[in-house]
Amino acid sequence: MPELSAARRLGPLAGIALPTRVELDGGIGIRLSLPPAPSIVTAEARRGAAVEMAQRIAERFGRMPQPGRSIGEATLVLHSAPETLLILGEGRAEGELVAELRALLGETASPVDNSHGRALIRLGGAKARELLSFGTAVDLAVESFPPGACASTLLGHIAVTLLLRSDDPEAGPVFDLVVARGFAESLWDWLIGRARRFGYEVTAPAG
Amino acid sequence: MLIHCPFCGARPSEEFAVLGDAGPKRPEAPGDDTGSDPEAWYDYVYLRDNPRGVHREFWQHVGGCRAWLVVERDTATHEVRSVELARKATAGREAS
Ligand SMILES: [Zn+2]
Repeated sequence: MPELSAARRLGPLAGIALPTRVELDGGIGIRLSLPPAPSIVTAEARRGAAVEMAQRIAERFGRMPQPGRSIGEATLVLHSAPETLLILGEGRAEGELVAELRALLGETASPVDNSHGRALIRLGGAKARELLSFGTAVDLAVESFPPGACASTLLGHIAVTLLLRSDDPEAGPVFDLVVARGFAESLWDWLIGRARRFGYEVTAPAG
Repeated sequence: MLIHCPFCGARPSEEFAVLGDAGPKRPEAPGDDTGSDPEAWYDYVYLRDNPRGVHREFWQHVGGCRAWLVVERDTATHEVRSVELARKATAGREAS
């Protein structure tokens, strides 16, 4: 089998999201970074096939995530809309994830590769929830939005899918924001504009 | 105004787009063996009730899960009485 290297995509924020550190009173409350662009696939169940799609997801990933929740690690499956999944894959070769999902889901759903159409921004830090609450009405309190929770919403009038990856008592929460490629720069400006009041650091993309 | 999306939970109305009255049902298409009534088409395309009070409307959660919903709300008070997925609310309509 030929060795497949992970796809390296030049995201829409290349050259825009540059490493920087802007402190406020000697500290920072927000961490922003661009993880290596993941493979991004959306899959909506075909008419009447939602139950079977969920069964196939459960066979492969252990279970079908509840609405507004996600499962998995290197491959994350988000139940982001009714009978609809958003799947994020780290370190996959070009087209590999969508091919795998097509084989898995067969006639139950139509996976579409959105890897080049969406961008992913990682937002963390002790003040991350406070920052997001400037732009969305989603209740991000940990009781209703625990690690693994996801929500499609408007953030500063821009459509995003929010995912809470982890929530460390000291480092604070880490959110992933999936946004349409053409809106990524606007969203980035919006995030930086809000982050100034907390102090922030932008770290370089890995690799 | 908050709308409780069956999938997403309570969200502000800014996340939604309104289409309008969920009542009108598409008449038989012209050329059908069943025939088509121009009056029925005129009514379907142009005429709408504009009630003060309870109204069933199509809304889309376009800034969220993108699902179409049927929202029953009071046009005078903006009180939302019920919300359901349009695919459930209209299921069986074609058969009727
Ligand atoms: Zn919704």
